[in-house]
Amino acid sequence: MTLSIRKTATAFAAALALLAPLGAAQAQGIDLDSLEVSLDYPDPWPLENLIEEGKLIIATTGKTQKETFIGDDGTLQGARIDLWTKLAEDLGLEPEFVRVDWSGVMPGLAANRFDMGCEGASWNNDRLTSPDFFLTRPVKVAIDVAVVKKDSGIESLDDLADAKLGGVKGEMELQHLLSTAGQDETDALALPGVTEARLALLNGQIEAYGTGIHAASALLDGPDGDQFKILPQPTAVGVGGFCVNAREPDLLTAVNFLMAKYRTDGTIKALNEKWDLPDTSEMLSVVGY
Amino acid sequence: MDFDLSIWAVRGPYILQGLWLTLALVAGVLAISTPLALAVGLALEARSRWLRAPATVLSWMVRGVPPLIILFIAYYVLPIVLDLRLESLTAAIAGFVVYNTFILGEVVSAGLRAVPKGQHEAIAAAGLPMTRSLRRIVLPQAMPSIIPPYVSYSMDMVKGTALAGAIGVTELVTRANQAIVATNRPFEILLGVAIIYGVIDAMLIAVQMWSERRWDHQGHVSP
Amino acid sequence: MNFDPTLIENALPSLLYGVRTTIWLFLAIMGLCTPLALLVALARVSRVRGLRRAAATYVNVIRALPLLVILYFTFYGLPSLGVFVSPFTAALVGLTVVTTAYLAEDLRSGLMAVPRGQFEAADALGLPTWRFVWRVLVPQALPVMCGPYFTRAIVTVKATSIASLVAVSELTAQSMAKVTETYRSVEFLAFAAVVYLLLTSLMAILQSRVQRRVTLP
Repeated sequence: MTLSIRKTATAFAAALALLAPLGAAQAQGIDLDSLEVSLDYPDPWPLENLIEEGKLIIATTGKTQKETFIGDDGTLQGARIDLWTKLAEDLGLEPEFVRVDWSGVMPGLAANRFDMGCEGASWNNDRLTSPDFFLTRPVKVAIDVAVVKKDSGIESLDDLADAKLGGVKGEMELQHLLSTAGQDETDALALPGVTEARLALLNGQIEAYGTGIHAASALLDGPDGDQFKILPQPTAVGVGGFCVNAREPDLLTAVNFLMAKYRTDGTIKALNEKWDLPDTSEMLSVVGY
Repeated sequence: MDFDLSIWAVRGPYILQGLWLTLALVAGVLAISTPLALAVGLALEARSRWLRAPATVLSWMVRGVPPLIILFIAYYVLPIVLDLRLESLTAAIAGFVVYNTFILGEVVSAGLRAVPKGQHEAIAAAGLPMTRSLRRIVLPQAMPSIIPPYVSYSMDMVKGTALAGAIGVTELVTRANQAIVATNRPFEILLGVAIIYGVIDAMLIAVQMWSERRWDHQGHVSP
Repeated sequence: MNFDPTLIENALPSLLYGVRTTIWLFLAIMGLCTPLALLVALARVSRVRGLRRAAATYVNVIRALPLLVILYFTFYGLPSLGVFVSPFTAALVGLTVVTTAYLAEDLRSGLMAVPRGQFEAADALGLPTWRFVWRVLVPQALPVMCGPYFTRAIVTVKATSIASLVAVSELTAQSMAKVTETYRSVEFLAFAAVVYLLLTSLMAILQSRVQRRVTLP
């Protein structure tokens, strides 16, 4: 599974490499190919609107495998935790993680309790236009997929029309699965979380589980993971990033700057490899990031 | 499905650290809301309209709103409206105290109603001071009707403390849920959680049995 | 904080679906619980020791078990034994079993308020048990039971929100789904709070009506 994603990513990179020589290598007599482009940034970055001076307060559920979760030793870890920690350090701040249930993340951003939140918010129109928070540059290409049991006989998206569908309540991934299969919201089993969705799939209470490629890969790597498979065609493709407190436009600028840096210097890619997550960061250039 | 309780050897210490927060919540909320509930119960049954009316309206509003919303108000709305930034645990205790005070206040009020009206009149006629008549005559008679629902709602509250996870209190269930997501072992972990709650609630039931025996002036049908 | 009512307008169909589910679930629970809890409460004050013990065990064990765990095992655990329960049924059964235990305890407090002398008097007169219960005990206990009964009903309206755990699309679940979908919280939380307040206000109005009718002289 992860293989196919990496293959796709590599294909995109190869295509870009082919395109590059076709572009203008010269402008006004300057040899563009030999130019070294790098950006400078203030260190420490002066941030006027932080909730607490010297601290970057980040809300996280600690309930997303491989991204932000509690390890065997009881500490918060994962690819996102590593990234946020680095982000805070590069801004000259101390990261402080507040573990809240998902229901508390949005009210907390609106109420000026947290500087940042969201593990990987898929972009949609409501979220992009929300006055309660800013969406940062994307950290990943969000690939929504359908997970089924190997013995279910479901081989492609075409087989989903009459299947019992499910996913996590309110998530875009579930809605994309439903619209792909042409089913209505009321026909689906909307489960409270990823654990319940996994159980429902294992139990046969649902036949296909609509989720993101990151959660799907964690599912396949977990217990009974060999019983599941991911349908080869995605149900939707978008991008996902973090949320920044709407009172802190300077933090948004800083985060966006650093995220672009982490994308180009390979930090995000390295973290995805470290945590065995499908790396989609290189595909972001397709949509201009 | 295999059932492997050894998961508790690895994850137990982390989850059990949340037990202290749960117990702190339970103890704090019960200790503060019990006297307040008595005051609310008396206000609800007061002869003066100036006491009764505000108590009735507040009770209607507080009991009518889900406790989660009250916690959200304590943690997310107070900073905006009153510029009051409570810590997670403080906000959770404050929110649960408000909710519990009115729930238990209704229990007290119902218990007071169980005392025959003639007695209030007799007390007034005898010119007994208010607090003394309350302590010596009215409350002892109301106790048998107050204790069972009082303990019931306290047991309800014990389990309700799990809601505090939404405002950053990493109590028992919040930690259990984190462990469930990380390990995919919901049944083993939930069984342990059920046993822990069972022990806390068993203590409350013991308090109920003890106090019922103590206050049992009327007894049950049995010969 | 920004408040955008058009969000609620757009989400109204699915929110109202949630409201309907909450109301049906609540009515079904109370319809089942009320007679069951009265029976358990009567068993708790019965003169038959076995009955008393059984009722007490049921009430105490169920009150000590978190509903979350009961629902989890019935809905997500039983299928591995080949037993499938629909979400609504799982929630209804779980909430009924639990609410009955709590309500029985609330009602018992009313029965306790009836002076013991009356039990002895009924005995002396040779009044049949059921006649005594319906004609003497319950009518006298009603004024005292009324408050706790409605408080329990009010608590139960909100307790139905736990059904979202087993994929029942009730009010809280539908509101939280909209929060996740739109990342806007204030609007949907306010909507849910107002609807719960309306439903519980209906209970409160009913309570004051009933209480006025059943007050002891």
